[in-house]
Amino acid sequence: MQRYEWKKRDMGITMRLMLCFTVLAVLYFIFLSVLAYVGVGMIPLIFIGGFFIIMQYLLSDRIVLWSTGAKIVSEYEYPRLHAIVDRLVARAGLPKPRVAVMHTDVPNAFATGKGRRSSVVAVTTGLMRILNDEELEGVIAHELAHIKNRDVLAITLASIFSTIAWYVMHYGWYSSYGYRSRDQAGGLILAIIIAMITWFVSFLIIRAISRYREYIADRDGALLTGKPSRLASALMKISGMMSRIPERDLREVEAMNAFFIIPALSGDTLSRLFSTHPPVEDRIRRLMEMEASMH
Amino acid sequence: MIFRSRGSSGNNTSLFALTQAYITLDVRLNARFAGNAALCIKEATGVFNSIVEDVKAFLDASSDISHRVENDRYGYIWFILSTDTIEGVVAAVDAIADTFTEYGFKEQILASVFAFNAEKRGRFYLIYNHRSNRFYPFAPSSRGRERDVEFEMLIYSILKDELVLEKDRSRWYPIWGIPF
Repeated sequence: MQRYEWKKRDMGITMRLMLCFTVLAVLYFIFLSVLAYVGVGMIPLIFIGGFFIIMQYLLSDRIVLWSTGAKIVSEYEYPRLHAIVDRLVARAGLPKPRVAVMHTDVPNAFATGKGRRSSVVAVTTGLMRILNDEELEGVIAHELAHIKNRDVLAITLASIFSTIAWYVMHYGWYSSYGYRSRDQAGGLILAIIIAMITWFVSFLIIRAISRYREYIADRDGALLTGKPSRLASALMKISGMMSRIPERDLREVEAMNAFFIIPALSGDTLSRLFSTHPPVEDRIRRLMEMEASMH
Repeated sequence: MIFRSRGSSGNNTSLFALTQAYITLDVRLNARFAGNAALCIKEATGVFNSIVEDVKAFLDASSDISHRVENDRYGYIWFILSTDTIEGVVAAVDAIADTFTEYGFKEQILASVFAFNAEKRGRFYLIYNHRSNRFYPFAPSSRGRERDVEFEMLIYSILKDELVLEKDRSRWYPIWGIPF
């Protein structure tokens, strides 16, 4: 049910996935609410909710492939891509995942799947165009690290706990006050507020876990290729940071002498809290420190 | 030691840190000082020219540093210094900068440039901005106006505890065609 990708300018893939999983979540919510309303107890509800999540997990690769439009490709169609994956899985001791390609100019990649044996690594045609082989290897190694670390499972488990927490809070409130008591309206509003808080906190926790696992995948991917700086340079290209490195001569810029007072942009902590990916700048810094420690 | 009589203005400690940092470059990158450095300053009129002559005379008198002066097409004068030791060249650059600063030409100073050779990855420069007192790496590739950003970032990571570096990469302006 989760996917990993290079969160950058790419609203297309991210939006499609978010929409897909939001629709699913809303459907579950409506369905479970109806069940609760008609009087199904807490324990059956938890089992039904758990069943949904497990089904979503088992079908995650298909849902992701379908919603992103990624197509599984053969060795004959994309020999360069397959060769890179082959090299890396041999070194990592992983079974070879299926390889998929999305036809879009936006550089991006993701890994999905329920286990090491049934995973998919997908890249966009845009990614293959802008990266050289070593950078592409860095990105794919990062995705393979997600598979190796079973990150899809980790995030799914975290989601299950948050969903259970949500229903326990919800249901617990109903039962302690009596579902159809005179305080019904007030109780209902409080129940909704508490459930919202539960959901929000678990949402933040899942985001934090996700960011943490992103760093781990950077590290493990870099260890796999032995070239952290290549992943760093891929990240710079993907994020468009490469284009912020000036090409204009200092003497030309100096002639305009307006450039030295621009303040450095400060990080936005709020957006960091909600993000599934750590700031690229920070990932690049860590990768380059890793590279520096190898020298 | 040249220009001793003038003394240092004392605000260039971040420049002098280079005399320690080059050891780190040697140990971690197998990179050595290439024996060349330069101070680059925008030409001005009036008393400026007599200071240039003054600086030239001082450099002529210095036995351990050889020098040449070049003009580029942007209207900058390059005081190009050659010596074996980085200590000597840092002191000389600081003295030249001090001299121009003393006469009110600090704003004319573009930067100082120090050349290094890395065993595997070749030539790179450390550029020192006399206004911000910060260094940044510059690694031009051999072909045309291209730079090895990855190598620059590696140099940055290695030196970040040793030198005051420019954190904002959008200010890592290249200087193409450095004449050494």
